[in-house]
Amino acid sequence: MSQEEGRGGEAQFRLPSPKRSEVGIAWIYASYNNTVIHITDLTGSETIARVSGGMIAKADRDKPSPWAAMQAAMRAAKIALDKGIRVVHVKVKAPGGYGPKTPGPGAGPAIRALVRAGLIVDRVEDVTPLPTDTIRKPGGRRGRRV
Amino acid sequence: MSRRAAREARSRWEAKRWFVLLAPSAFGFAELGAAPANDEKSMLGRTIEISFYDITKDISQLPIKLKFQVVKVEGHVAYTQLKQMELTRDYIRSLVRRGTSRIDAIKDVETKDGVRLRVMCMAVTQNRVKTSQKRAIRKIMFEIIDEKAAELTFDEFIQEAVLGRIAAEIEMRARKIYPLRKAEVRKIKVLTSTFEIPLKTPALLQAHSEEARPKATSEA
Repeated sequence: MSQEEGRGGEAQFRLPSPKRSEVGIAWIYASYNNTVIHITDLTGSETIARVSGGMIAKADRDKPSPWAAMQAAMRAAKIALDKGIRVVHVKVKAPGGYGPKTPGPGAGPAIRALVRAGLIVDRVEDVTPLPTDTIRKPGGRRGRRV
Repeated sequence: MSRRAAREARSRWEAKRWFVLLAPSAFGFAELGAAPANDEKSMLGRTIEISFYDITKDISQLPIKLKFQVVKVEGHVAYTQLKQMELTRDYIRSLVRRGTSRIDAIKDVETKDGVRLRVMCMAVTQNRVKTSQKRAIRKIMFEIIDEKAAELTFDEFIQEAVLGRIAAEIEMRARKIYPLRKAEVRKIKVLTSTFEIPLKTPALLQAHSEEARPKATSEA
């Protein structure tokens, strides 16, 4: 306990003034079926903007396309900029689990579109949920019967 | 979305209060960032993940990710406790190559002040090694984790881990078995509930040296 008291440096501490953050997190979920761009605050609890490829594309097969991802990212970035977000940390995510571990076709264009739209992309990270061992793929022993 | 609904959503966003998140005392109450919330209660239990680089501005510490959880809110300030420390995946991937062996050691320990942690260490050797050598290195890693936990408090343990002192010791002692390319504390999970770990607020620390305060304010 004596150690804590001994830390004199902390005695000069001043509380920070209230402020708004200009930093957010852009979660980009890119699968082979869709691309979702979800911009949140730093804690990830408050949604700022969420746009998916399905909101852009007319046909279902266009949902994962790079073009839809780009448009979605543009739209999400615009909303975020309106709400005062200037910098984002990008977290790219593939389906993971038993599914593909590499992000789908929309991930790259979405990041580029965020930059083009005026957001500053600070760092990009892959946060695909990778199992330490693996769960069983659905479909059972005899496979998916269609 | 209709225009009216959009305006309502906007005002809901504007109505939110912003809280400044502060790191625990082990990290010198560094500012982690700010987050909006409707009220103080919804702020509790939230986690924020940042890179250690954001605190130290040391570029070599970029792959260290720290996750903090809000445990107490006072006015516009939210105090946090460490929940998890982790290395980024691409960094770990860059360490392990072909022709090297990766040795993991995962152990639950209790620090001197009774905080339970799950420490995951990793060592990468320069060449492929035999299983017997792997076992010997793993044993050394377990020993070091146990020793450190027994003699250090929670705050000290975390500091040693993120600053790489534990990793350095592993590297030094495992060298007797086989030369290592790199040793790292890959991940630390705090198993004790973060709300149960005693929180040290700056106000509490200030109370011990009230005289030093006026001087500090005039400086800044």
